[in-house]
This record gives sequence, C-alpha cells and structure tokens, in this order.
Amino acid sequence: MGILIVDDDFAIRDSLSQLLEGEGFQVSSVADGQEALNYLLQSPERPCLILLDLMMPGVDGWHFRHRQKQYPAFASIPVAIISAHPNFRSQATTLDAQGYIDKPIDIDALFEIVARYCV
Amino acid sequence: MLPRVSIATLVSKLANPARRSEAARDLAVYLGAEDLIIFIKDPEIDLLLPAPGFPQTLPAGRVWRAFLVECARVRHHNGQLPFPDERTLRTATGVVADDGSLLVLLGGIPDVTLVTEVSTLVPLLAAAFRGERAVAIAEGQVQLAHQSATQARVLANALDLVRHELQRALHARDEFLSIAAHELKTPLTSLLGYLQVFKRRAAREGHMNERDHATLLTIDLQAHRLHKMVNDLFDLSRIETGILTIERRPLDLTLLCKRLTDEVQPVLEKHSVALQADGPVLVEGDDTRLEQVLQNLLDNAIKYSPEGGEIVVEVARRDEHGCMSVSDQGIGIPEASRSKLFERFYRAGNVESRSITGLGIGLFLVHEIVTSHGGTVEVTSQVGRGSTFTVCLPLLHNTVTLHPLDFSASPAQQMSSSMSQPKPSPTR
Repeated sequence: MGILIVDDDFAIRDSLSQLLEGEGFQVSSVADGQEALNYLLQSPERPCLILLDLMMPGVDGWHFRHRQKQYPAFASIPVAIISAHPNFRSQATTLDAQGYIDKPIDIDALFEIVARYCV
Repeated sequence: MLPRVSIATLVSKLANPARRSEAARDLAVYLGAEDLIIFIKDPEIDLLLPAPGFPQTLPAGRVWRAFLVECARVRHHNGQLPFPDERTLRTATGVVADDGSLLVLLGGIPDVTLVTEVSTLVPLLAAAFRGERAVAIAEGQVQLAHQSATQARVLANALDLVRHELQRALHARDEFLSIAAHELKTPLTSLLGYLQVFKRRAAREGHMNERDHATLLTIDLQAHRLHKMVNDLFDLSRIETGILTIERRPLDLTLLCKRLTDEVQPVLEKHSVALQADGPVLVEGDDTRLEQVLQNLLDNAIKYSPEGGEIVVEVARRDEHGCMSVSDQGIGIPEASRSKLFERFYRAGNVESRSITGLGIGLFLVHEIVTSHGGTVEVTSQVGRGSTFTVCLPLLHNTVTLHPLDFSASPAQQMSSSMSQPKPSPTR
C-alpha cells in the first residue's frame, strides 16, 4: 500500500515523492482529480493515504473529494489536504478530511499523518 | 405748471421695473433736476441701498455714504455728489421719507415744494421696491439652492465614483496579496521539500564534503528567510481581509520568551541574548501568534544591530499587565520615524543608508496581533544607542474561575512540550 500524491505542480509532486520514498514509503503521484479517480479505478491496490492539493485545473481537490465519497470502494481512504489556499481550514466541514497541512509543508506534521495511516 | 395728476402719474410709472430709469429721469426733470435715485433701507443690514432698477454702483462710494448719513440725520440735505462718474460733480438734494427711504435728486435746481410732495409718495414706491427686492432675493436663493442641489448631486456622484474606485483598488490589493502569497508558496513548497530530501539523504548516506554542507546550510537559511517573508505577506493579506484568527488560551510569557531565546541563541554569531524574568507571567493569548510577535521583535533586534551586542529580553508584570520587552544596542530609530513605525510597509528613515532590507511588514503584524489581544506595543529608542520594544498584555485575572488543574496544566504542558520538542525542522 502506497501514498497517492495529487498535485498539479510537478516539483511539489517530485519533491514529496522523493522525501517519502527516502523514508521507505511507496509513492504514486498524479496531476489532478480526474487522474486520481482513474488511478483509483485502475490500481489493484488501495493507497493508505491520499495527499490532496485543492487548487488544480479540471477536477480540483473539492470536486475529487466529493466524487471519492460517492465510490464506496474508495470513500474510506484517508485524505490529508495539502494547500496554500488562504483559509482552507475553514472549509473542514465540506472537505471532511483526516488531516490539513499548510504549504509550505511542515515535515513533522506530514510524517505524523503518514505514520498514522501508513505502516 | 403741469397739472397735479402728472406727479401721481409720473411717480406711478416708477413702479414698472422695465421702464424705471426712463420714468426716473422724467420725474427728475419734472422736479427741476436731471436725475433721481431712490434709496431704501435693506431689511437685513441697516443700510441705505439704491432701490432695484436704479444704478446699483455709485462712484466714490465714501462721498455718497457721507451724504446719505447726513441726509438721514437732518432729513433734508443739499450738497454735491459725483455722478455718473467720479469726475462729474453734480448738485444733490436728499429728502428722507417717513419710512426712512431716501429720494436723491441730482443736477439742476429742484422745486422744493414739489420734491416734498413727491417724498410723501416715496414710501408707497419703497414698499413696492422692497417687495421686488424680496422676490429677487428669494428667486436668487431658489436659484442658489437649485445650483447647490445640482452641485451636491454632482459631488455625491463623484464621491460615489471615488468610493467605488477605492473599494475596487482595496479589493484588488487584497486579492493581489492573497494570490501573490499563494503563488509564492507553491515554488517555496517544492524548494523546501527538495532541501529536506537533500538533508535527509546526506544524513542517511553520511557523506557530504564540508563545502557542499556549508552551501546547503546557506540555501536552507535563505529559503527560510524567503519563507518568513511570504508568511508575513500572507498574514498581512489575512489581516486586510479580516481572517487573521486569534485563539486565546492561558499562557506563560516567561516560558514563551525562554523557548524562543533558547532557540535563537545557538545560531547567532555576533549577538548574545539574555533573558531577564522573575517567575511565570500569565496572560491569555494565542501561543503561535505571540511567538510570532517575539520572533519579529528578536529578528529586528538582530537585524538592526549589525555590529552585534547584547539583546535583552525581559518579562515583567506592570500593574495589570504582563509585559515582554526586547532591547538591542543597535542603530536606533530616529524620533521622526517612531510614530509611523507600526504602519504597514513603513521603514524607518535610517535603514536605507545602511542597506538593511525588509518589507516593512513585521512591526505592522506585531501591532495588529498585540492590539487584537487587547494589548499595547511601545518603543523607546536612542539613535546610535539602541531600541526597546515593549509588548504589554492584560494579565490573566480569572484564575479563580479556572479549574485548578487546567491552570497548572497549561504552563507545565508548555514546559514539557518545549522540552520534548525537537529543533524546529527547516520547513517550519
């Protein structure tokens, strides 16, 4: 079981992948919500955690979260929001995520949430 | 001699404003003079003024005024007056009517009997003239009011437009700040992420030559400077849009100061930081935000004392307040700059020449955070000697109403968390 990173910025996907892989985690990454849904539908394994950006072109983070909850198979996959959006925490009720991490990312907070859901 | 009815006819002709000057001349000639002016008392100011339809400006006003005053005094007065220009002096006869209005005949030799007779009719005319004047004044005021109303409308429209533009500009600025902060955070996220990758890889593999290590530290330091600036900009935009939140909990200022001074001392080369405190000082506030306040004050103390020296952080109670102050031995702040020091984007007058850079946001944030806690921030300074910034917050009073365990738990928790807390990771 790996971690799925959903972010439209390549450098963020790549740096987070390297960082997490460096600590021994298996990581996949996609660039938007549609790709994430496709990945979930096609992948034989469920990720242990989804790190989800909010502001992305096409299917954005809010939209992805909404769609994810409609699929019983994926609805329970834990999601941590990673965002630079000024007040995304105030939308916690709508997003209903398991974690909220501001960009730039606090590494301790990231590893803490990863440790909680991924062994 | 002309029949008596002619006097009444001639006088009555004066009532017609359209032909008044012509009628005045006819009457003057009939009375043996060349010209005639009737003066009436202005109802508002106690002054004799030419009635409407007669010449309104008279040459050599002083001479006329003296003549009119004399007439009013003696009721019948003969003299000389300049008319129609200053150089043409003409004989003048003034007769005051019963209502105080005045008939002045110019030139010739008027027939006194006829003049007296006419003067008995003048009050009737004067009443009509006053009516005319009142109507003219009222019309003027109506027109003025109309003009004022039009001008007020134009001004109100202009003001609306300005206000609208101002709101748009303010909105655009807030939006820009918010977008700029967001856009800056994206590359910063990957930059700090890659830095972590490097540092962790180097730590894992256990080899990195000294020069690369030093380079990595510099990149780390600069990236964090950038991070702080972006955070300041971000906070600024949150203040502007009113979404900077303060979460109040009981906290110990001494502990907060100790935590930060302990953190900052190891990375300083030219400065030493001393903490002066005498036991816990409890206030109610947002731990993260107040830490930001102290961090900004410490950053400034270091930045504005480029020669180094001692920085003293003092925590004390003052009356009903818990205060923390940061003193440096730096360049100081010119007196003229002090009143504007807490305004956004403001930088003191003596920083440019010393090439000390900054955005001018730090102290604005300090001020906003402190005032939203119901506190104050003050500065004392001597140019060339140093500055002291003092932040005072209301002391936590209702200790009795707090659960004793909560009360004791708070500082202790902070103590234990500060002790077990690892060195902040570079992305913080």
